[in-house]
Amino acid sequence: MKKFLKNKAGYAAMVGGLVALLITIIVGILVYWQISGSITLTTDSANTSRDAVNTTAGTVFNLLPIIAIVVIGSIMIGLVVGFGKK
Amino acid sequence: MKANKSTRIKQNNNGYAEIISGLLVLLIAIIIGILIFWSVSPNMPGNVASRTEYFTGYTLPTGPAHTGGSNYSAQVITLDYVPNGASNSSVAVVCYNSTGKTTSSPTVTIKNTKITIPAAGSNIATPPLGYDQINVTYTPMIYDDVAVTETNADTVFDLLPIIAIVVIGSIMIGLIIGFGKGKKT
Repeated sequence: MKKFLKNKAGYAAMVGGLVALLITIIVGILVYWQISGSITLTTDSANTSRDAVNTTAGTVFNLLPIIAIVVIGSIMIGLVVGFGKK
Repeated sequence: MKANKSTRIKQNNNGYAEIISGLLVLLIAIIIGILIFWSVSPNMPGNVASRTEYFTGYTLPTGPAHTGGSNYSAQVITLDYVPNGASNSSVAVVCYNSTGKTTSSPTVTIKNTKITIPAAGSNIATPPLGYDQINVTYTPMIYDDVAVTETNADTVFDLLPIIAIVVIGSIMIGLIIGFGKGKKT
């Protein structure tokens, strides 16, 4: 983290990383729902299980982008903590 | 003793130019990131608030007694995307009769992408009967999930430039703290 904060080029790399993360999440959503939609299950038990997984997957997809916000928060806190330090 | 980078910046006028160029790179990277993200996200297949799919090839009842036709047996259709709900209120299924220009909205069973349209009763008296097209309007699950990611991405892109402000703040505070300390030899 210290090394990263002192590296000016690291900020640009971090932005690229966050954008890559967000795009990966979106592509992941597309891939997941395409696969989930294409699977045909014949029994009610299997369908119930699939619905439960879909619900949890929805929660996961809602939580994933928050990682990016947490990363930015950690960088800001790292900078603020380093104020005035030699 | 090896001086750290912060000290080097303060003692070196070129250091400020490096910081400015670093911040400029950061801001440009943010703008390019926004461009890339908002070019990709809205163009994802299935990322639409409302999608209508049309299913054709069904047959109408024939003869004076209006017998036969697709509506006399249950029909199963497969959507392209998983809808964001499994109720009849979230997935609008409209059976269309092109001859009589009439529509009906039967209660259907929805399981993932499969929709089962029940068989119509055999005692329908008023012609025209049946349907030869099924229109299904729904919101894909992809849209709901991507919408959350886009909302959070908005927050991310709002927060990213603040890093530049915090960097500037840290430099200013570092300078103020160094007031009156004199030049190191």
